[in-house]
Amino acid sequence: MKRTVELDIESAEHARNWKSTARDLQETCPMAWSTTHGGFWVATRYRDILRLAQENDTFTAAKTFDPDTGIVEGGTSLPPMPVARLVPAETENPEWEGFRGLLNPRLSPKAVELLRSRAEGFAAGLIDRVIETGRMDIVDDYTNPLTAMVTLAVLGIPPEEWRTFADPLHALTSLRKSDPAYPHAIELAQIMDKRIEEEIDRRTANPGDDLISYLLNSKIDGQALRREDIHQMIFNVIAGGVDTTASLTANVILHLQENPDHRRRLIEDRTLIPKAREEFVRYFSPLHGTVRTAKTGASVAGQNVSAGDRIYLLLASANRDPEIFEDPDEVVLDRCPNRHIGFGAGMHRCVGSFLARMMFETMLNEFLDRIPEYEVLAEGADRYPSISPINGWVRAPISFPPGTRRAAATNGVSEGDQGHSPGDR
Amino acid sequence: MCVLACPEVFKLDDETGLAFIPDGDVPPDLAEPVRQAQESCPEEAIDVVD
Repeated sequence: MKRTVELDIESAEHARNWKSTARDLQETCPMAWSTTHGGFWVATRYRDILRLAQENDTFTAAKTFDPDTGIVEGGTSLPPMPVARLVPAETENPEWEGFRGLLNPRLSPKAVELLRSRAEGFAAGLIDRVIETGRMDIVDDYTNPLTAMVTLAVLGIPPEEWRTFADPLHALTSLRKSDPAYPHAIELAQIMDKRIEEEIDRRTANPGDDLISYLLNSKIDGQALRREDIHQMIFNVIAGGVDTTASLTANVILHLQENPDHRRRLIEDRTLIPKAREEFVRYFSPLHGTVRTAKTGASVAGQNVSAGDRIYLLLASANRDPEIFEDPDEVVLDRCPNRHIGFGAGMHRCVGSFLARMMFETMLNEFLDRIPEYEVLAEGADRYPSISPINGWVRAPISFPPGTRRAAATNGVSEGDQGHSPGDR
Repeated sequence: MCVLACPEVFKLDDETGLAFIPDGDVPPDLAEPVRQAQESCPEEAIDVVD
């Protein structure tokens, strides 16, 4: 029997209650029909979500958007966003293979390793900016700038411009699409789009060894890439690189404040970090969920899904499915095996997972070295109003015993404070 | 994630980011970590043959 729920994944209520909602649905109706946002299925069980992500002949992430009519079909956001598709996240074969094949080597473990020392320099510089004051905002002073700076380094865009890219993403992912501030977020996104266009022009004239130049010089089946696809690949890399890992790290730093025993264990034994990192990706699931559209009719968890139906894959729920994970609501720092799907699964599994892991390790190690003791300030941390698609924090102010700077000059960080703060919202 | 569960058997290819097994024969003392590696794979891509 089809069970209908009023589950609005963008709502404040969902942000508060998602764990109990997901557990209830897993037990009683693992494929439920939500009447919000035009109607969609909510999948909550690990096994079903894995299948939905893997069976690409039946369930697609592909999106089409017609700018003249504003009509959106498919895609990975819910409600749908009236903007061009993400490339490759919202493409399918035969196109996907070409796009993804170009990105894979640029984000391989080897490619990422070459960026590590630069990322460490950024992290040290960002902490240097605040270390003598004894106060910082984990999101605005650390996790958001670092992820944006490293992602811009991949693209060959000057890291000190991080606000131009981080602010719109932070706003776009954290606000409900009905929020009065959302149009402002769209305006910021248009400024970012303009900067991407300028960078494409700049690299067309003067190619470098960065990802943008590489895409401009690449061919798929003998054909150069279309400019709009290059633009959307750049946007996809920025969207995937910034708010996701920033949110993960902010969640972890807040968790370690509340769980000093975990903090002590990680400070004393850094070899724990790789397993702990995967456990944090599972537990916090920074990408709360993703969306597929059925291409044909299918039966999922006993429910008849029709062609064209939208399905929300609640990754955070899959990652706490008691059928797969023992004590799913506990953080077990050395959990093993840990088959979480926090990076997704199937063909669209996160292409930047190695970059994400490197940025997370860099941020956590530098933070624990420099600020081992800290308190969350009384005004408190604010969670994103909407935890879908990204479950992160608007702000997370902390205080700590002031320390000393590592270096006088800091890798372009000091000029990084351009524009207004995303905390202004 | 299999590499985390049993780094002795599973290696990560630097270029592709894909895990691989340089030597398919597992010493008996690593049987348990290899089982854990198998259970760690969300894509269910690992077969263990006794």
